[in-house]
Amino acid sequence: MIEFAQPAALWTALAIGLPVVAHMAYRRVTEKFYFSSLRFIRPSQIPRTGKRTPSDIPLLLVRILLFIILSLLLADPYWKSPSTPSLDGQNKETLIAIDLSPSMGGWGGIEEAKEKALTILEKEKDEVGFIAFGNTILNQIEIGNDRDSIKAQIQNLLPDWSRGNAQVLLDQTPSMFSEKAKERKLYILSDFQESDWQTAYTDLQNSGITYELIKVGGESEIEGKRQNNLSVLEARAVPAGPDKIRVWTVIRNWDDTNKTTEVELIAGGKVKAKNIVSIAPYGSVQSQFVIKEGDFSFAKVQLVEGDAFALDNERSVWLKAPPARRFGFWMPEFENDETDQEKSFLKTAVASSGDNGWNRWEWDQDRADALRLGDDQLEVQLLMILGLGKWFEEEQLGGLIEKYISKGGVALITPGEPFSSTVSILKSNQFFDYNFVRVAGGAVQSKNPFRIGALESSSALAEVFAGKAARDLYLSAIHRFGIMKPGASSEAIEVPLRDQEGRPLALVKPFDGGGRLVFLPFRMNTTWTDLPLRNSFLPLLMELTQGVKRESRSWPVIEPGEELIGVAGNFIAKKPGAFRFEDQWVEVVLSSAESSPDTLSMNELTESLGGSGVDSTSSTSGGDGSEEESNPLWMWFAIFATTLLIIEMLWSRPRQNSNAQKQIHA
Amino acid sequence: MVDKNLLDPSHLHSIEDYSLLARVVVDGAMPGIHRSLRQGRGSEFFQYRPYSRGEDLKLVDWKVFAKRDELVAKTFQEDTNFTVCLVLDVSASMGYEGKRASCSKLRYASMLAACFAYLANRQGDRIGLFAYSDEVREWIRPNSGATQLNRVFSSLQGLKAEGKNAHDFAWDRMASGLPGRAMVVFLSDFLEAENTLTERLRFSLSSRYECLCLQVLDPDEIDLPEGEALRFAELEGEREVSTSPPAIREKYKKDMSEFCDDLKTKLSSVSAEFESLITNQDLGHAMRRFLGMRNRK
Repeated sequence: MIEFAQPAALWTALAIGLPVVAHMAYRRVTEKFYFSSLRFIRPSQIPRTGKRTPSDIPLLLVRILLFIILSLLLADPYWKSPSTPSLDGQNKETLIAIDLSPSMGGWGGIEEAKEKALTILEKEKDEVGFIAFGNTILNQIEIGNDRDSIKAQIQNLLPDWSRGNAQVLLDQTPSMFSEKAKERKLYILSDFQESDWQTAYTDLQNSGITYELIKVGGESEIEGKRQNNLSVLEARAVPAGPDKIRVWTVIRNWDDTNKTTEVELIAGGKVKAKNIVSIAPYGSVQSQFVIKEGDFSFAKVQLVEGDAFALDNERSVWLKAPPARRFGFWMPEFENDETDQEKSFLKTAVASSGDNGWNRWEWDQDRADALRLGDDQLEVQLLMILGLGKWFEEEQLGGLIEKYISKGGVALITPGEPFSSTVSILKSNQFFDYNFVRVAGGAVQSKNPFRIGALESSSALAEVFAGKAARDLYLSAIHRFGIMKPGASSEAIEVPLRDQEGRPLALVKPFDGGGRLVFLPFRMNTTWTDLPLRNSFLPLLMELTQGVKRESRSWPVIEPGEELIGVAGNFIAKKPGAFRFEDQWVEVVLSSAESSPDTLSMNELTESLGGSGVDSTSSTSGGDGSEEESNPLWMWFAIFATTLLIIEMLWSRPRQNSNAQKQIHA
Repeated sequence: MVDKNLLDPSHLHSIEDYSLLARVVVDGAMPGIHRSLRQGRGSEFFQYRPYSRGEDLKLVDWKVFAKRDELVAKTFQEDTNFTVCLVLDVSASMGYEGKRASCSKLRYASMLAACFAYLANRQGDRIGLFAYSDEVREWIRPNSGATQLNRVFSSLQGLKAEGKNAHDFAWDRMASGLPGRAMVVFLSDFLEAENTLTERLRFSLSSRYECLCLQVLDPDEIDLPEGEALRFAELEGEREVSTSPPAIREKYKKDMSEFCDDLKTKLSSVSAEFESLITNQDLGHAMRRFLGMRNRK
């Protein structure tokens, strides 16, 4: 039967009154009467009464029909015919899929989805299955199972905490239907949040699956955006003077109107502090709390007033200092005085860095040794290889170092004896393409040492060593160092430090994973340099290993569904909160993507699913046991209207009088 | 007694052949009202008759006397040296034929012209035909004899009503070709022509010329066609007027009547005779008017 996509347009059919009125009101003489002379013929008013010519009525009917066809055309007609229903009910299978991503917990999505799913379940007479999905397939009941169990499952549904991933549903769906099914119908009930669905793609039609998209939780949606949501986007604890901790948070407003809300900090079950913040449309503000240190291990920041999506209104934060970062040494088996002195200097310097204990460094030689034995866990953030020589090659440590750095580790290397051997090993392992020239200086030149040359103004070191701080660095004496010449493939190597003649005093090779390999062509002891005795030693050391220094927090922050690898076992994050795992503090936070109010349009979704879906944003349809097919009819109506228009034009055109057409012969 | 039916255009209209039509009209419907052919010395042999004593012996045909032993005298058709020039307007407006008319105005005028030609030929006059609209459509220079008559009939047969009338141009061409003595018979509706007509027909003031203007009109042109509303379009132009004939009929009739009276007055001033004919009238009146004028010569 014919149905209309825009039935309101049928009101335009009232326009058929126009030709009727026109035919009633005007008496237009369309037929010409050829006459010998118009000399004495004057125009006069044409009487409106009187008998009409017979051609008027058919022309009027043509015009009325034309108006009706145009009205139907505007109403976007289509032919909706039920296809052949299945004969025995065995041929049709129906699968109900419900999105359980966290965003479904807001805007009433999950309640609406449950209600509509139960309605479909009641109406659908064929075999039905059920699947719930979030980041993974959370629940599934094979098609053909007991309806009561499906109903019970639907009634007990709760949103999951893991960030949604619609692709898992699309990948799973084809395997849910049996091969014998002649008709496969999939109902997807979701809020179709943009972050969950924008990368999802499959061709359901190609799998022989027809689908219906049922959007839920979109009542407040305006132009693809749901309304009324604020979220706690970030929360951090940092030291704030003696015995105090500053907790600063970021609150985001996802609405296009200004919002004012109250934020409170809860620790130990009590509200410790409150702030009122005003947030601009689509903007964020910071809110800070200062509390006494030591009373509680963690706190919770939450918005006092509720909104449409409540799951992102709170966030847990650890109040304890994070675990220290670790460093260790690799040295030759048989240590000498030079190496001991170097190790001592470096250990003291690194262990003393950090701020008030929140970014502490801890010497952990056991983990460094474990790394040397092949443990590939990144347990040591800074590894110092002192006196790199033949022992390094004998133990085949090159591969381990490369793996360690590729995971984000930082290694500092000092040369061993002879210096040429060190350079050769670095080159053979493709760490630095530099060639040995000679070792400059010696004990005899201690009265005339080498000095560090002026830093390049644009370099990172120049920012650290500015003004008086630079003087101490430039006064540093280097008595010996290895002179090297760059090879053919040394472009990727940075030279942040040079002597006054421009010869390299430090080589740095950054890696993609954030790791760095630093080589100093001199040893960090007083035989080679007085640098370890100077104030600039520590900042120079930390700046050269900046990959470690710039990381300001060390406890892991993960999202629900992610996994943290531990020594004894793994930690799988299930829901937001602050957790202790082995010797680490873990914060599990809700994915900020789930707070986004943006949803995908039905057109975009249909394209992603292979086209020809049915959009059902406000009501559940289907489930009547037969599939309906829609064929647009506008083309036929357009052709009909055009034909009528041509007929009307031909009919109403002025016709020549027969007395003029007749050839007069005398 | 004249048989009126034989002069009725509704009957004559069915006769295609102008030669037959003219004979029917002239010989059948109007016997005795026209002067017979003048016989005497002429160039064209007419017939034999018995010789009477005292006649010139030059008239005797001696070849016949030798064969039959009887004196017969040859009679010749007299050459009157008089020309009847038929001037016919064949512009598009002459093609009009209303529902009440028996035929178009051109057909009516052509029937009259054929009858006049036949009559004139019977009286030994030279006849010529000049048909025009916006250009000269036919120009048969005056001559006498049966061949000339047939040529005139044939030309009348092929005339079509088309083009816009250009009276001034045509009359100038025609006047320049007129012989010394002539009777000019104008057949036209004379619509739009009254202003220049007197100037162009001034030649009829001369005693050598006579001019008969026969205005041929359709009954519709007298009192407008029937109909509630009509969109009139000119046959000779692009102009159109939508009007209701009942609303303007009285005024139209008055204007038309004044136009005809004015035309008659103006033609009288140049000694031209005028007669207004309607296409459903019989041809007798026009014929008598023509003969009256011809016999005065």
